[in-house]
Amino acid sequence: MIDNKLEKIFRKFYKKKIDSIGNLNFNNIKNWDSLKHINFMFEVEKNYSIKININEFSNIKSLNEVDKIIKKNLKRKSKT
Amino acid sequence: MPNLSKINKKKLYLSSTSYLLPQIDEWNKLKKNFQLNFMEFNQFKINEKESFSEIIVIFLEDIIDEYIITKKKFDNNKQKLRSFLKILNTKFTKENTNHVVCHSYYNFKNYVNYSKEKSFNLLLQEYFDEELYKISKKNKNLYIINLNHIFCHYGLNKVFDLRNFYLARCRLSQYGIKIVQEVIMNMVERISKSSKKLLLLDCDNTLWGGVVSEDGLEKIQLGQDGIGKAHQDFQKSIKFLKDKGILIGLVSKNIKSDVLEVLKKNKNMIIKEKDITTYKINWETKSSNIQEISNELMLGLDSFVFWDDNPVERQNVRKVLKDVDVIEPDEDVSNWAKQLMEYQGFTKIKTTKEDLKKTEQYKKRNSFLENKKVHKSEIDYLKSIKIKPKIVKLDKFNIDRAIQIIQKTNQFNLSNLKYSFKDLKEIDKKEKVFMVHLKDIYGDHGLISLVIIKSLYKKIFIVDTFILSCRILGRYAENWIMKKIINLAKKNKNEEILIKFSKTKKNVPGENFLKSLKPKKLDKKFILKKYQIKSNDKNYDNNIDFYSIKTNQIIKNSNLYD
Repeated sequence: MIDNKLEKIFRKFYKKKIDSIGNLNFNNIKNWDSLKHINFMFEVEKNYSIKININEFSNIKSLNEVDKIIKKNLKRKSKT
Repeated sequence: MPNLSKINKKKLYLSSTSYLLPQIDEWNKLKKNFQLNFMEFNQFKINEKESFSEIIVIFLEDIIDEYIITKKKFDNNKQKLRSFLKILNTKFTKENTNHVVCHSYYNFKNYVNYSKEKSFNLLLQEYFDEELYKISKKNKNLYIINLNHIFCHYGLNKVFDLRNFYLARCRLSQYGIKIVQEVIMNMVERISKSSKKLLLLDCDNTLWGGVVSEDGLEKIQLGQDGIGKAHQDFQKSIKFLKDKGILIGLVSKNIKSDVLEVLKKNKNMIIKEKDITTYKINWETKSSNIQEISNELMLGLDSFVFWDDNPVERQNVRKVLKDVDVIEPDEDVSNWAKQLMEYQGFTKIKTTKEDLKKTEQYKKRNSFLENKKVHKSEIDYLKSIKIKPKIVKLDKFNIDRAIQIIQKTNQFNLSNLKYSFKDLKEIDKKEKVFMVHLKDIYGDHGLISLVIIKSLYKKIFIVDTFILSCRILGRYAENWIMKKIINLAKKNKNEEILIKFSKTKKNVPGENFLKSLKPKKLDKKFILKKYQIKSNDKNYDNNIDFYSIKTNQIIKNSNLYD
């Protein structure tokens, strides 16, 4: 389950109703171009106060993966 | 249906050598205030007449495109910069809009390597900076900002983001974009709005530490180490502003003689009585005192800044006088001098000779008004002060003052047309432009008025611009100038003069003068028809009304000084 905050951010960029939102592949979303992807990821970073590295940033394919990366980054942050 | 929110907003173009992520929220403040147009990545705006400003954000690493410059590559890269500067120079010379060039260069520095000589990267940046300033000297509408100075304040590592560069060709972090947005907002505001004119200060626990009526003249905290030194440094920054032409006033709930004694006798005071243009030291509310100062100096409240340590006083002024900028001083006095120096409201892009005399000029105005009040006959009094107005042609030495009059004078400004330096130079080639210099027994008031007469189709005599500095009001100088305008029209064999007028919230003194001429307001359709003006003619503007007076009209009190 992805958290509500992340879903809310995603909904700013994607309005259509869908059941399993977490598994939705960004590559399959119509009009989801690289700019939209970057802006979405910037919103995620801002809302969670994290910095996602370029590898993670480029390889993310779905909202579930975004969710995992957020958790990983938050864990990393709490350690430092 | 037109987008109404767009109609009143000025256009602002944003070009950059880097991609600036136009969609992100960090640009929202600019988007809210302007019709913000991002140019295609790496492209400049094409000259468009109605645009207000173009901001160009340049990252030198985008032009140089090499991180480490060696001696071998230095000349080649300098040539790249030279070519780029040439393009910019041609663009700025051709275009009449305001341009703000913000530039930056973030290069990797191993400081040990450069402990004996400057890096070539730094030399290139210095070369670019110097050349830009040379171009800006020739182009009055060009303003330069070295972003590195600002970025250093926030931390270069936070402002730049290499990840964003590799992902999206954007040199900046989102935080960096937010800072650039603030810089642009400040700069555009400074270009388009006149700066604040008067700093009003409280005394006890503001100009000095402690309460003078309780501690006594010598025991107030001023000049000694600690808090006294902080208050003294605060005074130094006030003095700096005063020397740049900002007026200083005191508004204090105190015993007047106590405060004046501190100003005169305390040796640690940096601010002396001669530095103060006006003061209200009494037990009235501060808001009523400030309102009174505004009436006396004929300065709008929006040009006032109020600094007081007492939150209750600040709240009162804020509540009653919404236009006054009430500063929220830092809780620690140590930071006040810095806070005042960093305050943007007083910043002037250009200081003229007249600015430096401002305190003296407004003090003269106060003496003039006080003496006028006690004289029985106003006219006899005016004759006795030996007012000598003189018409002065526009030239390269006084054009900066002319622009300043256009930009800053709001109260006696009939048409409110805000011409730029280039506009005025163009107008001066074809039309009649003159200024008025004035002196009297109170001293030399400098250039106090600007008039632009346009002769449409060589037959219609139009007063396009008539501006008079408000500190001169009360002398009937405007009537003298109007008589000179009428004489010009007669010489030109015109029987009628059209006067352009645009009503604003502030130009009530101008409107009152116009009313005193008892002019006839002309119907716009009638003007278009009678004078065969095409609706797209640049002399015709929908926001401007035309008033007509006859040249045989007698102007009251216009012969006092001939």
